[in-house]
Amino acid sequence: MTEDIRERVIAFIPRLRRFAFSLTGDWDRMEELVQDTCERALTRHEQWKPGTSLESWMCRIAQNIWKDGLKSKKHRAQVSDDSLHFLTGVDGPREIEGRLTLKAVMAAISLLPPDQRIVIALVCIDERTYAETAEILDIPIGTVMSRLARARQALYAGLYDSDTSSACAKAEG
Amino acid sequence: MDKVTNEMLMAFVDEELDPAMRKEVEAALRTDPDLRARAAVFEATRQPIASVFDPILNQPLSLPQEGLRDGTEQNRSAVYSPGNPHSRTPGIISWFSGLFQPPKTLSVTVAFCAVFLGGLGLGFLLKGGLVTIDTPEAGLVAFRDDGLVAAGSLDHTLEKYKSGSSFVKTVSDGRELAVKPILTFRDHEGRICREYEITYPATSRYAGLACRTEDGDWNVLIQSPIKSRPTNGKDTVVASGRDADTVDAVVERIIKGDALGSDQEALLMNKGWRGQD
Repeated sequence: MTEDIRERVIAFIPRLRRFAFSLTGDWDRMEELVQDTCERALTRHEQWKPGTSLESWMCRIAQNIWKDGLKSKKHRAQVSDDSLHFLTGVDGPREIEGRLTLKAVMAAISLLPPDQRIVIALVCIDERTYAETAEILDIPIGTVMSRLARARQALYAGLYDSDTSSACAKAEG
Repeated sequence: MDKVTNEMLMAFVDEELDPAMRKEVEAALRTDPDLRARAAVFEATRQPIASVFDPILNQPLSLPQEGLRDGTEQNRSAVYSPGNPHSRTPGIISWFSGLFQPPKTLSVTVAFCAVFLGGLGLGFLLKGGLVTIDTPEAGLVAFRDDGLVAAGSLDHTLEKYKSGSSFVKTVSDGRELAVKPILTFRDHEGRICREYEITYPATSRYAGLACRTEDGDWNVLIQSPIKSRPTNGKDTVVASGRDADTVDAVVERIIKGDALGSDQEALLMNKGWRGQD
């Protein structure tokens, strides 16, 4: 394994954690998913094709592990204050605001079907282009767009058109 | 344009349309309030959503596990340790551990922070030194470009509390976090350094060492869990693989002379940790 791959895997870990958290909604499960992803990527690094994006390949691994885990409930999204409090290290209103907003978003995301959650995680959170997302998921770009549009409408409804929205709106107000 | 679909509006918001199509959608949006309302759905679910996840990028790269906090047997078995067949994912750990080298000298900004903890005891690397941080509360240690520095309650305590006295606060989960400086000394470079203990929750203790920089930060050199009960000796592995690299060992290696007395410590603290003892 080249030094370059090591560096790139390590450099990608913060973004991978953010992506993994948006899928799992739980700090411990996120760490577990990141670890499983790194382990698989490192033990099968010969399967990565040089010239393609290593980061995209790792995202593909992560979402595959996560989807497989759903069958055994291993990585199913769970939203808890206990995990979210680690994300806010300051005292006072800003901490409360941040926690409520993240909690509201994760609660809304966790209601989406897995395939929609993945496109939200890739495009809206990891800021992948539609083309990159299509490549990662190995589906047509048109499917990415229709799936993403439905996911975002549902997410919007979950955040702003339901009871969850009151917490979110309150936090943002 | 006959019909602007949701996919087109979304692609417009995401700047994924080609220039010609973008112009058409833009023109339609100017004249159609319904379209603008539909586009608002996609606006609200892009940047505002991304921004709430951004703090994760800056979080320390490991956090304590409930299992170790609770000391349950099930989770103990998940800890990686050589020779333990139930330990977790030796593959990745041993792969990464090849990168983990104890600091040749502690003058480097980032030395190392122990240790593999819990089932997720995956070590990660930052800039030339091992960094696996276990902090009981986010915000105690922060990443900077030039290393790790104390933050929040830890920074406050190192700055304001004399050795032997504890700063205690109740954190978000209702449990108490206590930070206590243990001793203060100068290292061979003349820096003020403080050894400390963190307790969170009551059954888990961590030891750490930080030295004050010219910028007024407390540069965290090492932080590791303290075994609070007899074990089989396999439930915690120092990432460097050298058991001698504990906080006490590091203190012994870098301390110049004796630890400061309480009067010297109080004097320096009153001067903002600047000047001579």
